[in-house]
Amino acid sequence: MVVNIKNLVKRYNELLAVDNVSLSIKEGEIFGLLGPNGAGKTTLINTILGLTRFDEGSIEIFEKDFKKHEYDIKKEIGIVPQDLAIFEDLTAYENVDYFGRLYGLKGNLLKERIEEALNFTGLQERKKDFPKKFSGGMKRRLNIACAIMHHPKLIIMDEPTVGIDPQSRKMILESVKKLNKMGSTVIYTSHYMEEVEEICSNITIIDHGRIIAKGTKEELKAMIAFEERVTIQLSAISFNLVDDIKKIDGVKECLLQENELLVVSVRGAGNLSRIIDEVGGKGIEIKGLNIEKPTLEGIFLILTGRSLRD
Amino acid sequence: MMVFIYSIKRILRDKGMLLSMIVLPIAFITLTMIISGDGEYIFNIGVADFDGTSFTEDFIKSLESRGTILRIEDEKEIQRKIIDNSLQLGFVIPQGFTRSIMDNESAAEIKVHRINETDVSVPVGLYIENYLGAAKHIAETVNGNEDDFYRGVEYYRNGLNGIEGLSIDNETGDRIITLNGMGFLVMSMLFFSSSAATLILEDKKNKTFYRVLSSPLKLKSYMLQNLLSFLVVTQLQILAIMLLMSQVFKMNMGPSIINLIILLFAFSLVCISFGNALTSLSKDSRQASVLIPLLVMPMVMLGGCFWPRDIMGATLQRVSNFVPTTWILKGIEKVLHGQPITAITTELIILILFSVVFFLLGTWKKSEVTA
Ligand SMILES: Nc1ncnc2c1ncn2[C@@H]1O[C@H](COP(=O)(O)OP(=O)(O)OP(=O)(O)O)[C@@H](O)[C@H]1O
Ligand SMILES: [Mg+2]
Repeated sequence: MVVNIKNLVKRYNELLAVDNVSLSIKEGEIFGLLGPNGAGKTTLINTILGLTRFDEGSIEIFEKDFKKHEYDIKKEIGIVPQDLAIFEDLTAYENVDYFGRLYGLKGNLLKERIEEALNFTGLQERKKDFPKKFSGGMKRRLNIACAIMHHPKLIIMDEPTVGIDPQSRKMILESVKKLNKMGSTVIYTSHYMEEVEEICSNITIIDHGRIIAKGTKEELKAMIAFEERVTIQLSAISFNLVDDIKKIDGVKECLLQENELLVVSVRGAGNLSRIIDEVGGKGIEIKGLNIEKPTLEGIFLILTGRSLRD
Repeated sequence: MMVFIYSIKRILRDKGMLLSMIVLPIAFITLTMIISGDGEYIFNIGVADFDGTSFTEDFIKSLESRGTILRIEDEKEIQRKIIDNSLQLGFVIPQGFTRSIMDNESAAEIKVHRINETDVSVPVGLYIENYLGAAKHIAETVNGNEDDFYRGVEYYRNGLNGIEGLSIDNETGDRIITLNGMGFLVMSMLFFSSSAATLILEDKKNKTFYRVLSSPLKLKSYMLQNLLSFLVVTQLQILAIMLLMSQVFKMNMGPSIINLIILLFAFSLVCISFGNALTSLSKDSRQASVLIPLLVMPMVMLGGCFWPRDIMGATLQRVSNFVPTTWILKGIEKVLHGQPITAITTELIILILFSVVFFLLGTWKKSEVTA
């Protein structure tokens, strides 16, 4: 077990930032930690890194007690912080060199690893430039380069793709897979469902500091495979619409988001025509209708009643 | 030691910091040199020699190390030039002066002109008095024998050269300028070290601090390496400014450079721990950059970096005992006056105490790591 967290609780005064979280991450996984803003992802990571004290529970990393083996544990972790953590007054090369040395690399090995990290993140040609000349995506990539040159056993990436172009994002996702193949266990937090779906083998969804679902991608999808999901685009909305649809047999959940209605029914409910009638009966025109396949986005919506990117 | 090395690199790359470290004191020192240059550094001596013997020639020559000699064979002209300040001192040697000395007559005297007894003209006046007094003694002793008289005077002059620097000469004026320059060095040390300390706040802001904390490096080591780098760069600053003062501006650095350096080193400890206290007590680098001048300027002014503390009222002088700048300048003044290291132990101890107090202030507030 690379990470083993048991009944972790972290409070900021009244606020429960982490609420009785237990999870374990096995070697070789890409572990997805999914949750909206303020869910407690960063707080959880900070407790893993020993940067934030927690109130209850226990954390074991590499099956060692953190306090007793702080040095050994930290040496084997690479962290890509959510906020860019690079020196603006050092070049790309110097940035990687700085953190490489911080993790105890020296001499030729250090040089090799710096080149490797720069190649890996596609910054080789810009290594002599200062980050202020970089685009947002390049800075993000440098942020990653600074975390991987010591070949850590565990790489923690806290929303490494925030606010960047699709190309850089693709490159970063590819590199996460590569790093994983090279032997690192990865913790990857995000509020982008597609990302987590694409790269993660195990996914935990948290909200308000609590785990609301966990499992493999397939397991999570199976959770809603028992459901039928229909989205209907409406020309207008009506006051009682949601309540009335909820009264229809077989409807488990009904949500209205702007002009789009999401209706979740138990499998085989066969209530689609009644739903359409209900809408039509209120004088609302149906502009589009879509029967959805299960997605993680959907799981989140079902479990929390909110869209991930709220 | 990599944090240390990188920290030095980053300081030397920072234009603002280089400005406060080197350019600021140089600008201030140059400015004072220009302002005070006429009165103190340039010392013009006007001479009208109506006697023209080899005794008077030698005497005038011996004055060359004390100022620029201008031959003006007209007493009125000398007086005029003293009034318009193009001469700081002038004297007239009447005809038959050498003869009258050798004959032990007191009739002929050298007439010395100067506006008033300024700090800088006093030593030259004294020198002239001493020289002539000695010549009279020699004349008395050799009983008017011309050869013996010249030999005696030459002997006296050589002796003077040998002890130059210790004896009364125009050092007083030099000391004022040097002290002034030191005041600016002290000021810029405070400015530099406190702005260097904001590097740590920078790291907190740009989150590299977060990365450092997640690495195996201990927080203590990170802090110490940073402080050490500030200390080392401050020593470079001291060295650069001292070299500049002595080599380019030809300032008189007093009899003991070593003692000066010891004092300045103690003061650099104060500066570093002051910067550390300031940054650990301020929220971010913006707040710190507002606080720096607010705290440094009063210290600099009270401590006498700009003007002698004597001109301040008694209350202010008492208040000034509570700023470290007072003590470094007191110490420097003593050293420039040739006092031994034992005379500045009080100043050294007080400076060390200041750094301890500031250091404790800096470690008092434990900063929240992930804030
Ligand atoms: N230092 C702190 N002091 C007080 N409250 C905090 C602190 N850090 C985080 N919180 C609170 O804890 C909760 C969890 O925050 P956290 O940063 O862990 O969320 P997150 O899942 O990382 O969100 P995001 O996706 O926006 O990064 C939030 O409500 C936040 O306001
Ligand atoms: Mg976060």
